[in-house]
This record gives sequence, structure tokens and C-alpha cells, in this order.
Amino acid sequence: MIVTVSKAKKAFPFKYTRFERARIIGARALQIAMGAPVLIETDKKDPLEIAREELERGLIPITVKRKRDSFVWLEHSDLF
Amino acid sequence: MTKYDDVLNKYPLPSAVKEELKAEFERLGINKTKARQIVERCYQAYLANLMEPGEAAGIIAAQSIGEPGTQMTMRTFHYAGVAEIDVTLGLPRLIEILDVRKNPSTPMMTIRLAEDYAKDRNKAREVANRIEATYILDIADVATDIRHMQIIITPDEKALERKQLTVEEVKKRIEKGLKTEVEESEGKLIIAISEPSYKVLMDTFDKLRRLVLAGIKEIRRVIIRKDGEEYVLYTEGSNLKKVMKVKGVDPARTLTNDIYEIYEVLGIEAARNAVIREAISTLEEQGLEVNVRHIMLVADAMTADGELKQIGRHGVAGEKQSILARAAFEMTVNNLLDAAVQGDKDSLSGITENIIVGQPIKLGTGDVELIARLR
Repeated sequence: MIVTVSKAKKAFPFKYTRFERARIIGARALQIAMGAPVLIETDKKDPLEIAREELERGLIPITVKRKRDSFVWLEHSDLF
Repeated sequence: MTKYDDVLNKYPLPSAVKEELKAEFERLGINKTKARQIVERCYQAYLANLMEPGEAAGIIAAQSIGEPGTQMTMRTFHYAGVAEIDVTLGLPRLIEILDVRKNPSTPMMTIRLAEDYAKDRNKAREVANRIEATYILDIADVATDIRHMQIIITPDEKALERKQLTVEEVKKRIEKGLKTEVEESEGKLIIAISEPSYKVLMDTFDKLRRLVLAGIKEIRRVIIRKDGEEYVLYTEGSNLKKVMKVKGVDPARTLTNDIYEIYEVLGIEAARNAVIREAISTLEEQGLEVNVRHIMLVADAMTADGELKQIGRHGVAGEKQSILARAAFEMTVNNLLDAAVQGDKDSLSGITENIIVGQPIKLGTGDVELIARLR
């Protein structure tokens, strides 16, 4: 199957991989544990739980930088 | 072919999945719209099951092959499976595959025949005779006459008939092979030695005994078996290049278990498929189930550079660019010493090196680079 490079370098639909999620939650939980202001109203005490909820609601001011081609996603229109 | 093909062809699903879907569609006789919906759902499930970037695919493959590998019997297991031919199996065979041995311990071929030869036993026999190496001792008695300094060959009529040879052909072949005159008298072949030397006589006798009269030298034995409708030849010994050229052989359906030979004759893609097929069948024979994808990764690592490399010191592991990664595998002192003498540098870009120096590795969570999201 021949895929032309220009066509193949389509951006990945932006959804975090489980590694990225873990890394973001981890970084945010560390900030919260060290006293950073929490961005949500919650009863939770565990910084990890708080970070998880923040990510769910899309409020964490952290994202990932993707630099490599490993995130190229092949649409089926690219393959046929 | 069928109406389901153009639905399926729009999706980059693995061919095994496509075939399963097609069979199921045909069984249920579903219409095209429904089929498309089903395929779409399958495609979504397929996407959800793809590996994520950052996953340690190689380590998972290594463990998935290694764990069942521990269950394998160590002993070289010879078995009389297909047609009484000994085949190396189990762990020794798996090691042989991954080491890409140039001469496997039990080379074997499965030869399928062209259409007009496959159904007829006699025609299959004919092809087998063209392939199997025939020596003089298979078809005749050979005696040395020291008094008259000659070698007397007494052909066995029955053996000749079975091998579909004539005395005339044998004579020609010996004349060509030994570059001597052969006399024929009373159905016997006589080779006269001109020099009165016992050594020359014995040398000629030895040469005669090793002369291949018909067939291919490497093919020591051919066995004809009926497989379903057609006759199939199984051979001990392998020479893919020559066998593919033999009249009556279907070259497209002819197999050998010598992977290096496949690489030389048919190229790297064929070699990759051969590695996958051989490894899977070796594991399956032992009753171990390993997903093909793990084996495929190994086969890809072995063939990615366009040449067949073994896994190990002289191949994939030995060609790693990092000194520390190589030293961690085998020949630690040699690798480190050579690197030191040459003043090499290690860029610490791989996994092994970073573990050795105690740094986070670029894998999984360690491969994610965080940046602030400003609003």
C-alpha cells in the first residue's frame, strides 16, 4: 500500500493517549499537592482525584507537545 | 467478486477480519446497507484497539514470545509427521529461525505440482525423479576389478525402470561427469583405467560413487503423498532455485523451510513471510498460541533494512548504535574496550542506555512533553 507523505501527515484528531493523560494528571496533582489553587469546586481531598476531575472538565492549563510523526493518523481515505 | 467486496474494500481492515466478515455476510445474506453499517462498527472497534503511540511494543512482543517459549521442550524433537521426514522442531528450530542459520539442520521442501501433473501418480513420480538425486549405487552394482584395472557397473533393470533412466543415459552421464570413456558390453558398463595405479582406480571409484546421475544434488529424498485431490512432493534437503525451474513443478506453491534460501531466491518480503510462517508453525506445533502481531514485529525488525539479519550478536542487537546497549547485551568488555579505543560517544537516545545511566526513558509516560496551555 503506497501512501503519499503529504496526504499521510494529517493531524491526529486531538485525543490524549493514556500515557499523556497519566502524565498530565500526574503533573497537575503535584501542583495541587504543593498548594496550587484548585480550579474546580469539589469536596475531594486527594490531589490526584482533584486533578482527574479537572482533566475531565477540561480545565487543566497543561497540554502536550507532539513533535514526532508517530502521531500521524491514517484516515481510511488515505489508504484507498 | 461479490457485492460485499466493494463495501469491504473501502476499509483498511486486516485481511483476516475482512474474510471473516465476508463469510458471515454471505451466510446471513445481508443487504449492502446493513453490511456497510456492520463494517463501519467493526472499523470503529478496530481503531479503538490499535496500539497507542508510546506503547512498549517490542517488550510486549518479547514477553509474549518468551513466556510460551519457556514451556517448550528443550530436546530436539524429531517426529514422523508428514511422510516420515525428520524435522527439527521446538526450541532448537525457533532458535534456528531467529538466528537465520544459512544451513538449517533439517532442510525440507513441500513441492506442489503444475495442474497437468498434480492429479496423476505416474506424472508425479516423473517429476520426483527429476528432483531426487540419483547416485550410481541406487541403480546398479559397482565392482572394481583390480587385475584388469577397471570398474564394472551392473545396472539393475528394476531400479532403472523406477528411476525412468536407460543404460544409455547413465553411460552418457558418467562419461560427462568423469570425463572418461565408458564401454558397454552385455548390458554392463565398464570403465577402464589407463594408468596402472591402484590410487587412480580408487579415486575414480569414489568420484563415480559421488556422481549425481539425475536430479538435484541437495535433494536427498523425495516422498510422494496425496493431499486431498492432488499429489504433493515432500523432500529431504532443499534447493529452491533449482526446484522452481523443474518442469512440472508449480513454482508459486513450492515451499522450503530454509529461510535464507527464500531470501536469496525470492527477496526480502518473501523472507519476512517465511520467518512469520516458520515461527508461528513451530510454536503452534508445540501447542503454544502466540499472536501473529508479535512475530510480525520480530520479522520486521529482522528484515527492515532490506537484508535478512539475525536477532543477536551479529544482527539486530549487534548493530545498535549505542555502545551501552550493545555492552548490555553480549560481549560487554569487548564492546566497551573497542568503543574506548576508538573514542566513541554515546548519545543516550535509546531506552537501554538511559536505564543504565539512571535517567527517565522515552517510553510511555516518559515520552510525553508537557507545555502550558495559555488562554
